[in-house]
Amino acid sequence: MADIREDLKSILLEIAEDVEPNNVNYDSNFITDLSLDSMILLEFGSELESKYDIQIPEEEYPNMATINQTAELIKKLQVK
Amino acid sequence: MEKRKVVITGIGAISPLGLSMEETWANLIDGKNGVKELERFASEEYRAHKAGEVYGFDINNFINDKNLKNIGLCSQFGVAAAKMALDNANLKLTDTDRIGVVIGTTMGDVQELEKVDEDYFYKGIDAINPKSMLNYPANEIAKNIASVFGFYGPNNTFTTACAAGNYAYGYAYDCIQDGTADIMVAGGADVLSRVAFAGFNRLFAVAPDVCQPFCLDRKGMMVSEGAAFLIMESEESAKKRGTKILAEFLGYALSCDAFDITIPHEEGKGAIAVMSSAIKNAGIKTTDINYINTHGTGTKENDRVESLAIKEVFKEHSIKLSISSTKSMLGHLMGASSAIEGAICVKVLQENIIPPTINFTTPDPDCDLDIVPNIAKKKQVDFVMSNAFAFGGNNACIIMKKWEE
Amino acid sequence: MKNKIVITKTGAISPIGVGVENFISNIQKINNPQDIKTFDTEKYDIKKAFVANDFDPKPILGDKGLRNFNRNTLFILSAIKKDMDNEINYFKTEDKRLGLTIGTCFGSLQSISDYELDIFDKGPRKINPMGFGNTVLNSPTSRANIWFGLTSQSTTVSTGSISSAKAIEFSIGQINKNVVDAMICGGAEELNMQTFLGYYLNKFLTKNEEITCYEKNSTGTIISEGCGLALLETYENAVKRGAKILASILGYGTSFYGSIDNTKNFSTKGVVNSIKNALKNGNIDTKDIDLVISSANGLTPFDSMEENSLMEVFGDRLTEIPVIPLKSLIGETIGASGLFSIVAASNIKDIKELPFVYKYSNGQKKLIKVNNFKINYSNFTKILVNCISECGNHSAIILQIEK
Repeated sequence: MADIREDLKSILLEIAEDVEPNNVNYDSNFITDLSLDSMILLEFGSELESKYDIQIPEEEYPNMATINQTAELIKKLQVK
Repeated sequence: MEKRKVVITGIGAISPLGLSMEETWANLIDGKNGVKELERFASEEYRAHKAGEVYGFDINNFINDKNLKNIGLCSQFGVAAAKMALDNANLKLTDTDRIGVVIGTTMGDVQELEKVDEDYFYKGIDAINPKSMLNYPANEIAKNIASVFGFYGPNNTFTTACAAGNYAYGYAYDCIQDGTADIMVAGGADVLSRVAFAGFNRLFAVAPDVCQPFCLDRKGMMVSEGAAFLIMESEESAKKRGTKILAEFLGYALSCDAFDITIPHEEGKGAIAVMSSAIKNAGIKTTDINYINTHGTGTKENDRVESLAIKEVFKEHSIKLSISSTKSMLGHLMGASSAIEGAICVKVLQENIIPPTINFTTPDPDCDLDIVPNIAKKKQVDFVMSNAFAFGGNNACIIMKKWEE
Repeated sequence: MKNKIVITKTGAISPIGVGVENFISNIQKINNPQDIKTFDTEKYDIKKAFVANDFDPKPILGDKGLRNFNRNTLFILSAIKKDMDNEINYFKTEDKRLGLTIGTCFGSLQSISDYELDIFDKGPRKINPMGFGNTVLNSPTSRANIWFGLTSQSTTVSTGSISSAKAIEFSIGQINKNVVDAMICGGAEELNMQTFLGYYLNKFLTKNEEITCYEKNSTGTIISEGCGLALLETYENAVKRGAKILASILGYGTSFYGSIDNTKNFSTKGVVNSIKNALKNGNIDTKDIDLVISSANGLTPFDSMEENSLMEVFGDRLTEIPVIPLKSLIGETIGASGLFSIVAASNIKDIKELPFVYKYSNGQKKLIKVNNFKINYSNFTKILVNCISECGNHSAIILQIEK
């Protein structure tokens, strides 16, 4: 499977308009490093759901705290 | 100049716990849950499947006029609840120029819009009933109530989401106090909508099974529907009519979080401001309040922030207060929620019984107040406060007092 | 009136101009409706309306943070930013209580429908969670409170075509109660497919490119959009802070006289009562009024209700009072219409000549259109802004124009 992390980063930056692109690496924590709130993450999740044709269950949200984790989660959900 | 006293002389309600205020009240102090499996529309595709619906409602059981079947269901709830409040206040409809109507609603007769949307999506424009399009503006409810009873005084509609009922009470209070009207039919109405049910589900804000306000295990709110009205009147007018006075409306306040559209301010800035101003406007002290009917939606954030704000405003008195969330039983009636909670407060003042917060299992250290868990409690209550903290950070708080001659 | 309440600033985003200056300059000429671009009009035989096609929020508000906002929200934010920015800064710096009240009839209507259609289309689990915030009617107002940090209060009033007049009423009440020092009071409405459909299917819209008011053979109205604003505060407050006073509110009146069937709501009783209440409220005689900005929109029964009511209230005096049906110049802005009338009235001194006014003919017992009517607009001092609605709810506001 192709590396989707760069795509995830650009989707995130489109939603989180206040985040400085240079501050985002694949292991930045969305909440502690980038100060994103739950609504932004919900919107991010919703974008991923349409783009990757997946359904992210509520209990998985804590498991998408970084771009690396999100990429893993998408991989897992796509396999299902 | 001495301000006119504003009193409450009638209450009426339609709720998931009954087709009258008496029935609703009896069920509330019994700790009954009005939230059940959703019947109005198919919910398989949704995340959660429960809601608070009004069962067995027929407008013609309240007013036998076939024309009333042509108005929206939300308007019908409103007309029925207003009718019961008017009967309760023994109001003879004579000098109706001085009687006004004000309501709060989130989306008004939205089921009329749902019909339009369904026809548009599945059948095309030609299938749309143009009449439905005239029925859905939010002001239809107040218009229909005023038209049915012939009230020619001020007519207004607040669409300040879940705080709209309290906005309506505040406006009615002002109209009576400044002499624009002698009597106001004030309250709120909302009907269960697919949009609200879907939206709250999508925000993961709906509890899967039960609504557990202020409980550590709480998982969210419940979407619900209904209507409630108070007859608010100048003391002078009530005495002239010789009707029984149920309670006194002391004052209200508004504030705005100006923080987020769906999340309350994390430190309860707006909630603290609105409660403090309401106490000031009512001309009382924090220690006078015996009971708060909370906004208490059962979501993690609301209940944490509301508890924090109560503790900040009431300081050491906060442990002497009783608070409860009747949303644990009724669900969240949206624009009608603060309206029915205001009506409940009138009953609390009259009966000295506090309805419980049901579905309580485990205490939450963040919400360490007397939430009257699971079982109603007898308590002398002389002053009540009712909170409403809506979407958009629109906050409204009202204060009422036991009536004494 | 308890306190003397004044208007110290106005604002406008409208199809005929962005900003008050443009709005006032453009109501002085005939503006034609434009092609609707916000939704597909292929299926309808009416394709034009007064649409703010040139409106772009980005130069006013910046690029960031706008992506989840609906059009109504963008109108309100832009109108406030464009015309009230200095005032907001002043009230914030001085730690004064500044509230916000918006009147809107349809508010977030299209956002509700879009959300519904999305549920049908994608299923309830795949809808955009951010869209839900827009479905609540108070979201445009609340987003403005958030954007500008206005914590005193946020109020949304929805009373059909008189929504913004009711917003004025509410603002007066809140200032009189001294719970705010000033109120940004607005009316806002977006032109969207749902509103258009409602008017179209009920045959309220004309195929012509102009609205002819007070005419038996008029074929309907033209729908419009935008946001009008007025900053209200007490006279003392305004003087103390050295603000320029445009107008003061002399009187306010309201009355309801309706039926559940809107086709029966054309009695003059409610309109007459509302105007009389305003006159009484301000202790003003009919002979003091020298201009009427009216509500007529080209829908015949609606227009005759207003025409007959004005005749009933003013009698022969009406021959001396020019009547301006503002909607014939800017279109039917529904919930925003009252506020646009207030904006026009407050800035009347800046008007040199309107394309036409209506004058009452005693002989014909009707209001007659007079083109290029020569009059000095800066002489008008007491203006009646008449706001009527199709649901039997009416309001009247009397303004005193400050010298």
